Formats: sequence, C-alpha cells, structure tokens
Amino acid sequence: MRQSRALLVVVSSAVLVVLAVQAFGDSKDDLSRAKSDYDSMKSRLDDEKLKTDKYLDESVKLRQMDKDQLTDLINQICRLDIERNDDEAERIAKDLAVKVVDKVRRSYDQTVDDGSHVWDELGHLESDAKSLRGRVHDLESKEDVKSDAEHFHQDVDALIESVDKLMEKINRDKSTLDNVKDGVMKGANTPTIRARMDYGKEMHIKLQSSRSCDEKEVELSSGRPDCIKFDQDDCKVVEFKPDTYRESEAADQASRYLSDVRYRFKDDTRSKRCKHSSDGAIFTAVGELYTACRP
Amino acid sequence: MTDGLALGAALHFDHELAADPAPFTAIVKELFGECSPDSAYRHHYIWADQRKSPPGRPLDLRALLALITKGSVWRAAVESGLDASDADQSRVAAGTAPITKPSHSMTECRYGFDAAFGANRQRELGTQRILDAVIAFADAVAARAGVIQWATSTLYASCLASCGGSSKLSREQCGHIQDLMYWQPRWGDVVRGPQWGTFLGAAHVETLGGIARIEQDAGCARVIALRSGGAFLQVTPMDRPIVEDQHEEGELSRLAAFLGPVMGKRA
Repeated sequence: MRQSRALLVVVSSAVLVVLAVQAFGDSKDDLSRAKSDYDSMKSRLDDEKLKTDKYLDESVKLRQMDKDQLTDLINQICRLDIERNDDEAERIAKDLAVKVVDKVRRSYDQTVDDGSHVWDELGHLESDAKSLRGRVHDLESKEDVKSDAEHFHQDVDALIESVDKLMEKINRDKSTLDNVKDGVMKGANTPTIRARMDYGKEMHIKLQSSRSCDEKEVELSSGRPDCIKFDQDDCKVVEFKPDTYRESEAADQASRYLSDVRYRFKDDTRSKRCKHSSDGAIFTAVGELYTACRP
Repeated sequence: MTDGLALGAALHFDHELAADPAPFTAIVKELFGECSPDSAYRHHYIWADQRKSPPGRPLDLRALLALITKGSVWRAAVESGLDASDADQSRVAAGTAPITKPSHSMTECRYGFDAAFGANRQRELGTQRILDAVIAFADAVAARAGVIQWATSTLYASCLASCGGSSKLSREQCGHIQDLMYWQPRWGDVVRGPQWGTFLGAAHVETLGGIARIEQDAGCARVIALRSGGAFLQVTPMDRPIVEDQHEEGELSRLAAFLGPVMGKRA
C-alpha cells in the first residue's frame, strides 16, 4: 500500500513535470512561430516599400507629364489661328486636347491602379501585423518567454508603425493626384486651355475693331477674309494670324480672297475709293500678325 | 552693284504643277534643299478648299509635294524661318491648284509665282544662281509674263513681286505697287513691266518679230531665248541694276517703247 502510494506520487510528479515542460515548450514554439511570421511580414514590408517608391515615382512622373502635356497642348493651340467658334483650327485644338486627355488618362488610371494595389497590400500587412501583435501580447503572460515576448512586441510595433507610415505617404500623394484630374484631364474644359482657345477669337475681334475694318468675315466662295478695308487709294484684304506664322503666310491666305472680293464689291460705291486697274478696283493682300498666346 | 539689294521675281503661267510639279521641285531643291530639320527654312501652303492654312513647318519637300500632287493645295511656298532678318530672307511661292479647282487668279494666266531673296541669301547662294533658277522655272512652266526687280529691302521686293501690301511699307511704296498693277488683269496677254528683268511669253516673242529681232533691237544687256518660245530680257548688266524707286537712265522707257505691241494700251 505504501509502495503503491509512493508510485502514485512519482507518477503524478512525472506527469506534472511533463505537462510543465510541454507548456514551456508550447510558449517557446508560439514565440518562434510568431518570430517566423514576423520575418515574413518584414520581408513583405520591404517589398511594399519598393512598390510604394515605384508608385510615388510614377505619380511624380504623371504630375510632370500632366504639366508638360498641358504646356505642349497650349503651345500647339497657340500656334493655331482660331478665329471663331467651331472653325477648323478650333476643331484641331479640340482634337489635340482629346488626344492629350487620353494619354494622360491612361497614365493616370495606371498610376491610380498601382497605388490602390499597394494600398490594399499594405492594409493586409497591417492587419496581419496587428494580429501578430495580439499573439505576442498573449505570450507576454507566459513566464518562460515573457521577457523575450516583451522585447519582440516592440519590434512588431515598429513594423506596424512602418506600415502606417507607408499608407500615410500614399494617402498624401493620392490627394495631389486629384490635381491631375482637375488639370489637363478636363481637356478643353480646363480654364487654362479654354482661355488659349478663346484668345485668337478675341484678338481677331480686337484687331477688326482697331483697324476699322469696313467688312469682317464676309462669306465668299474662297473663304472668309478677316478684314476688308476701303481706304482712299489703298483698298486691301487683311488676314490676321498669330506670330507663329510669317506675315507672308497670312498675306498668301489673304490673296486667295482677292478675286472674290473684287467681284463681290464691284458695284459697291466704297470701291470707288480704291485705285483702279484696267478692269476694276485694286485690292492688295496684307498679312498682319499679333502676338500669339503663350503657356 | 547688286550688293545690299534684294531681288524680287514674279511669273505668270498656265502649267499645272499639281499634275507635274517638276519645275517647283527643281527650284526648291536648287535654292533651299529638300528638308530643313533645324527650321532654317519652312514650307507652308494654302488649302485649295475653304480651310485656313496651318502655320508653316520645317521644310519637308516630299511632304509638300505629296499635298500638291494630291490636288489639296492652292498655293505652296518655301521660305526662311521665323527668325530670319530682312536680308536673310528668301521665298518662293507658286499657285498649285489642280485644273479642276478654281484658281482665283487675278491675271489672264491661271497661276502665279513669286520669289524674293535678301542680300545675305544672295551672297550665300550667288545672285546669278538664283536668277538662273528663276529663268529655268519660267522656261519649264512656259511663263507668259513676269518680271525681276531690285529693291532696298526683301519685304519691298517680295511685295513688288506678289503685288502684296504690308503695314511695314511706306504709303508711297504701297501706292507704287498698286500703280504697277494697272494691267494686272491682262498680264499674260500683255507683258508685265517692263522692269530690270522682263519675261516674254512665246506669243509676245512672235508678235515682236522673233528672238533675233529682240536681241538686236530691244537694247537689253542680255536676252535669253527660252525653249518654251518665250524670252528673258535683262535691261542692264548685273553690276548696274535698276533699283525700284531710284533714278534710272531711261532704259525702261526705251524698252517700253520697243515692247509697245505687247503692252497694254490705255484707250
């Protein structure tokens, strides 16, 4: 009896020792697993850092592209001679704007996609890191790994902080990307572009008035001359163009209207003021340049 | 001497450059080359329809010829870049509308050609070379009338040639250009000019009694018979040019008297 009680004590003690060893063993394994998960998260964080840098780089390039494309678009619009609503030049300008918008939009969509992708991945990483922090927190109550877990907790906190910083960086950048949406991507509706497209029309109206044109934009089979003047002994057809043209180019355009103008105003009393050739009033073709709009 | 002077030239003809652009190609290649990526020379054109032309672009003769032969262009020009000074400027321009489209001509001829070369450009190219190129063009298109004039600025020479105006010319210069346009509606039937250089069409040569008689009696320093049957008459030698608005020794009046049968006559 005494022998069997002693055996029971020995067996019970052994079980307790085994249980205690097993318990210690589980905590250490948990901590080890947590550390392994941490290492994998750290490696994911490194990946995400690279992706974030790539995204930010793309975003900077997109904003630069937006700026460059806008400048280029304005330059091209300013080269044109937009005289009135819906004329050929205005249609060309609108087409240019559409092309540029398409180009920027493709880059914008790609950049936004890349940004969202990194953002989602960082979100997952953050959630995984927070769950790891919970597990480490639990391990802090285990005597055998307490000190190690407490130390490790700080590492996990640092990782979460790094993830948060990356997310904050992307978030900040996202708001500046909205400026691109309000920039060239609005195409002809962008105030900057609209103003350039209207500039030529305003200059034509201004010059037609300051040059005291007797006739403006008369419909002829050869086109619509900007200005016809019946000055004493000096009748002329004037074509206004931005200084991205040569004066001779504007005069060449004006010369296309001469025969029609002479015919149209043959019986007009104002034609009597012109010098006359053997066959009627003489009109000369004149080109006049105005300063083109600038970006 | 022609040093410091600008040269202006004008021709009137019926040759359809849209169908056969060789004469235009030849003069552009000779005086400007085929392309100018640095924009030292530009080409521009006026559409044959109502569209307004785009600004000139760096010379690309092939691209310009493609438009001309397609029949899309009313007038084609090659000229100096935007930054060229007056003395550095040069230009050739020609009517290129296809026969099926209105020519909007102001003369008896369907098409016009004008050219202007500043003093510096003449130094670069050689004045005689420019003259030869213009005369070769006149021959190739069988010009029916035309002139070559000297002026103190390229702008004035260009306006004299094209019968154009400019706010940068004086009122007297503009008035003078218009005075010279009195017979413009009949140029081709009658001669234009006479000027320092005067082109006669084949019909004029015939009316005047043939090239031999012209060589003998016109009193010109140089007479060139053209294969087209026309002729080029140069009143004085190159070192003694007649400059527009400046005194001359009556040579033009004497030539006008000789050309009487082929000049317009006021009633």
